[in-house]
Amino acid sequence: MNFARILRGLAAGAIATFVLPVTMALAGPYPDRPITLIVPWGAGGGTDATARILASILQEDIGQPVNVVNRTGGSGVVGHSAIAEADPDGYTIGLATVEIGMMHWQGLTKLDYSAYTPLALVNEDPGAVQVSADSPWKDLPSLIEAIKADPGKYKASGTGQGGIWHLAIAGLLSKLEIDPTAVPWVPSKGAAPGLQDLVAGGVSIVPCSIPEARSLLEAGRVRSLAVMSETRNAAFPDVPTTKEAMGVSWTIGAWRGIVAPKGISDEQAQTLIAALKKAYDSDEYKTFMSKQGFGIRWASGADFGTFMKESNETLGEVMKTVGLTK
Amino acid sequence: MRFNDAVLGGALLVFSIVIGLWSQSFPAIPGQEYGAAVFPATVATGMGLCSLVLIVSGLRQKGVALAFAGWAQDWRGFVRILVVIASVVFYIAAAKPLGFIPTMTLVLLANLKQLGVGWLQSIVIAIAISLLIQWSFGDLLHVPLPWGILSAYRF
Amino acid sequence: MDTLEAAFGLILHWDVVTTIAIAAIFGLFVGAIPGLTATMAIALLVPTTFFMDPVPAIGAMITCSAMAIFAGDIPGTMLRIPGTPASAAYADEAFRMTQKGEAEIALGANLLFSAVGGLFGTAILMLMAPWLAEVALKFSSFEYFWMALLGLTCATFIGTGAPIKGLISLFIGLLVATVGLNNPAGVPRFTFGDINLLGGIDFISAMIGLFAVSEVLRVAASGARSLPVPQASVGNLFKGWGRLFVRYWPQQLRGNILGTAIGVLPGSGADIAAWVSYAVSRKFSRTPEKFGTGHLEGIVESTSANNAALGGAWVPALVFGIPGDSITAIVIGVLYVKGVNPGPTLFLTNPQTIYAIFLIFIIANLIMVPFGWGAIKLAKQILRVPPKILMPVILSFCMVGAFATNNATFDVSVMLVFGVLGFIMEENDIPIAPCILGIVLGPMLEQNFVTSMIKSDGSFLAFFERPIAAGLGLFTLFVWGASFVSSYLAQRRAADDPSPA
Repeated sequence: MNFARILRGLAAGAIATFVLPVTMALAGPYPDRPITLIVPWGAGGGTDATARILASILQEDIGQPVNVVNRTGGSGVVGHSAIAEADPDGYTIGLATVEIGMMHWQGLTKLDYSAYTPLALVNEDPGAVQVSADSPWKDLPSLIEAIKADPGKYKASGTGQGGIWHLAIAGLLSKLEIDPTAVPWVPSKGAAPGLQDLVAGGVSIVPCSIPEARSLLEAGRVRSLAVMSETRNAAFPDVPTTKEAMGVSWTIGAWRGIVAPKGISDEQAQTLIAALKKAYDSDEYKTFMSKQGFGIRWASGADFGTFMKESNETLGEVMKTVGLTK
Repeated sequence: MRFNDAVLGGALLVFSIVIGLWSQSFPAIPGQEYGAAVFPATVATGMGLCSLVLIVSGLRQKGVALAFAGWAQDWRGFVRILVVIASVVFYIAAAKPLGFIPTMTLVLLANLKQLGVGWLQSIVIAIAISLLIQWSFGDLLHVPLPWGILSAYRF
Repeated sequence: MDTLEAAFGLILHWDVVTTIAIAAIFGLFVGAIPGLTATMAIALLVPTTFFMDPVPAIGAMITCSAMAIFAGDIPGTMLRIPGTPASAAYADEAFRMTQKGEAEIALGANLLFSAVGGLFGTAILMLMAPWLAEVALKFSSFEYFWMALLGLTCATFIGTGAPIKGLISLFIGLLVATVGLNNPAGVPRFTFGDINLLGGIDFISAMIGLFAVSEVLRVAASGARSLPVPQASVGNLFKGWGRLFVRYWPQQLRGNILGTAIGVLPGSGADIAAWVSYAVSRKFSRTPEKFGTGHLEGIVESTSANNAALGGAWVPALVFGIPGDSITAIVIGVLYVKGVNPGPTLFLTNPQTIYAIFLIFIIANLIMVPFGWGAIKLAKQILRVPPKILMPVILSFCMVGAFATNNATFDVSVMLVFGVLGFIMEENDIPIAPCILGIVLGPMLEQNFVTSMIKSDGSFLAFFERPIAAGLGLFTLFVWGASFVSSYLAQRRAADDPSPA
């Protein structure tokens, strides 16, 4: 029959293509083909934008295309799993975000930071306390007083239930020895809808990062009372840190970093870290991040690993106090 | 392949009861009355009510439980549907190890052949379309279609 | 006038014009491919805009998105595969026109009314942006809840035949939307412990399955013996347009207004605008029985609406930096990078850039006509291919399109399951359109219901406490009441009338 002959032909072709690449793969230094960069969040967000600018600078340096691939869904679980499960051949890397230190505490996955080879931390944006410009609160102490006087009355929003900004406000309250449930959390699909609800009068507080609130801050519609970091934001130097405002040190933020699946060779990791360092130091990256209002922070290899470990533990602690752990 | 409304309603009723009971196991938001269960339970209730109406109207219509009309009178229609489904399942299983181009070529070949397209035409179309998709989606639009056994010849 | 001159000066450069032309072709291409949305087209453009000046960068994005939304109508009309979700509302209706040999009429109307809708949205953006943005900012979860409920009410207007089967289809869609982790409580639902299901069921893969794969299955079942339907040629497109414009001006105007209004509201965009407009068109039509049989009226209204929504979405984006839809979410990022910071002051400090943006909107909608006409003429050749060859090829594009939505084979499985589901549903006269509307609006309805209940500490009264919410709520209740009364009266009349229907 005709079909048998075709099958034989196909098989021969398949064998030929199987044997050839083995011999060819030995040629050429790493990387000799395009690299895939997995992003666990959707096209259009800040994470996606950061990944795309990094990828476009990176590919100039390493001479191979770096393709950004969005794997969204499940509050980042799907994409983070895809990075961890990719072949550790150095041709699939990913952009991990702060959520990697949160979702396993919630019992959504077993996956945590230890599933990756850390390459480089490239950004961190601390949380800040935003209130509507129409609200009576001009500084953090007066807001805290109001919360203490009327627990449960003032609601906060800006991300999903148990998201990073939920933990930011809950952690701040527990640092101030107030029950974190005194500010009930209203889950939203992100900072933008949360801020919209703040201006519309639906909620009272949005503890998101300053770059996320930037256009409304500049339009005079919202007020930032304090930023949850060691230092003030360069673009908004009038906003005090929580330590300056309340006398307690509370730092928390959303971070982004490039990781590879566990098991990639040291050589490849070093090549990528060197290329990432160049990209991080480039003018394009610095200008892009500062124009977006995003903070930049660098840590590579083992330092980044330690950073993820610490972030993981801090977040776990807060989630336990708020009762979000499983 | 038309089910009597009563049969359809019965199946949907069972389905909505399962969903309704299942959603009762979802936890509430801490400190809130309305949690993950409210919405699916409400929808399941609505669906259950609709399926009751469907059962009643189906019983009134009488008629057979499952009617075969049109294509469904010929058993080959079912075979063709199964081939389409099987070819997609084959793609899902084989795309990664085999690579996009060989897998899609086989999928196209199977479907073209079963609809009565000649061998030469089928093979040419199957290969041409697979290459075209690999080039347009994979290359121009950066969709990471797997190369599989053809990894050495990527373009 | 000086500002306008300066704005023209910004645009009339060869590099701006070339960029716009290339972006137009790119948008047409991406929009016409199922699974690749207008949002994806814009995301793919982002890296190239890093190396452009502000005006060409923004121009490329505006042109690309307008083209992509129109181009989504082409495969929707010819093959019943909506190229973008915004075309899903009337894909079935337009496909029935193709089956009658009227593909060119349908696509010509799509093109004309897309362009006019886009221009209308632009005009509103130019004249009323700051004022409208203020209104949009007054919307909180209470108002959105009523909006979503009103939208769902439309589902009962969309379905033809038995309303009970339309409702069942809607409920299936709503249940599909609950799968996964993306719910207010943040707990996994109906996932069977599967990581992929944790991410929920992707709307685009489901849509490709319900519309296109079910059609492939139907053609395969009958053996694809039929020959291509001969298509009437319209010849001079512009001649027919005048007539269409006169005939459908009320539908078109209503579609434009509704589309712009829905576009202005953050979080709802072109796809929801098209659904609502189609339903409204049917509700107010003098010949609602013709809907679903290949009737132009509803197509005109919703194709106007989805392009008008694009302009509307820029209102909150430019004035407050709040994205009106997923496309403007990306654009805002690019605006910042280019130093065009969105905000009320943008209109004062940088008027020539704003005017340049407006002008590009106008140009984009004008060049849509020649470019789109070329695309229609080219694409029409596909309809000459015999179904036995076309169907396998469509199947392959569906599979790649589903894969491309998330770059995962899991989405191909979703597509297959929904293909079979859609096939069974249509075999049993259950319409698929309400199911898709349920998948689109389900999350919005649940999110806003639950968050409203949290904010009001569990009091239902809060849904009527804010003025806009109370208005929308009463209107929703009124629509429901009116529908019940009219269907009751229709039943009475049917009972009184002894002659068989």
